[in-house]
Amino acid sequence: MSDFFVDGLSLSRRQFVVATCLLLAGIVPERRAHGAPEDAARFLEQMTGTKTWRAERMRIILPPITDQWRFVPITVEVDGPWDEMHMVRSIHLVAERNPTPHVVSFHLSPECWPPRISTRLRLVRTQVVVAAAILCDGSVLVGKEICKVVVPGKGCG
Amino acid sequence: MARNKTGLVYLRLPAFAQAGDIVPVQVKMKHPMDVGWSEEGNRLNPLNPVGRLQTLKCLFNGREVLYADIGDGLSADPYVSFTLRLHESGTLEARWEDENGIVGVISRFIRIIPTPYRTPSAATREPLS
Repeated sequence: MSDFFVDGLSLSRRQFVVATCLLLAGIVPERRAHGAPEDAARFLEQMTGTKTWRAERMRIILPPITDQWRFVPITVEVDGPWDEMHMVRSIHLVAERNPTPHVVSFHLSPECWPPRISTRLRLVRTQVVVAAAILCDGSVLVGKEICKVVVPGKGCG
Repeated sequence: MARNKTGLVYLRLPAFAQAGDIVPVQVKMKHPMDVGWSEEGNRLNPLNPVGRLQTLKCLFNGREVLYADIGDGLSADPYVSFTLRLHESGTLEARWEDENGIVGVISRFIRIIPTPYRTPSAATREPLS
């Protein structure tokens, strides 16, 4: 290994090929067609400002299987006591495998009672939809639901 | 036809409700939500990008009750439904704005009637002397 790089200026053919491959691997960026769950987790961490999530009290109504990726209905409810301290302040929807994981963020006032939101999504492929609710005391509730997309799409939007 | 600068938005809510009732509100926005992603590949193909919605605000008597920050993942002609608990009559206004500065506004009036007096049932009524 040491004499492989000894005479760097006079490259042999094998050294040239190896060096070119290394250079190209460094230059050409990795192209990902879809996002990854790590991106969604990072995005949620940005939005909520914390990483201590509780997986409770969230109810997500999503079709388990669909063939229309353009219109996937979703309903998000937050159970439990909705008193002054535990009122829902905002609800974030994240699709993990979409090109851009951010779907929509709702910021609710205390007049939105009970906290229940229905909307329609685009899901380009089979994936997990994450809903996160931030309460007025700063705690974060997270719920997940999977939707199988039979006929997937390519672009989003 | 020149492009209309005012967008379409539909707002559906009951005309009457009792104080403390849960009022369902449905907002439907007429917008293609097309940012130019091509169908074949996952690259930007801005042949005819129309843009997408950015914000949706719902105001009740001037107070903001719902604010939505919209991303790419919402479907075309987005539909948002939520619930309100109201104690006074007022005007609910829904307003969206997209990337090109086009705004769609609609407002509806809802009248809150007071809770009617319920006659006590026979079990709890004072016996007549």
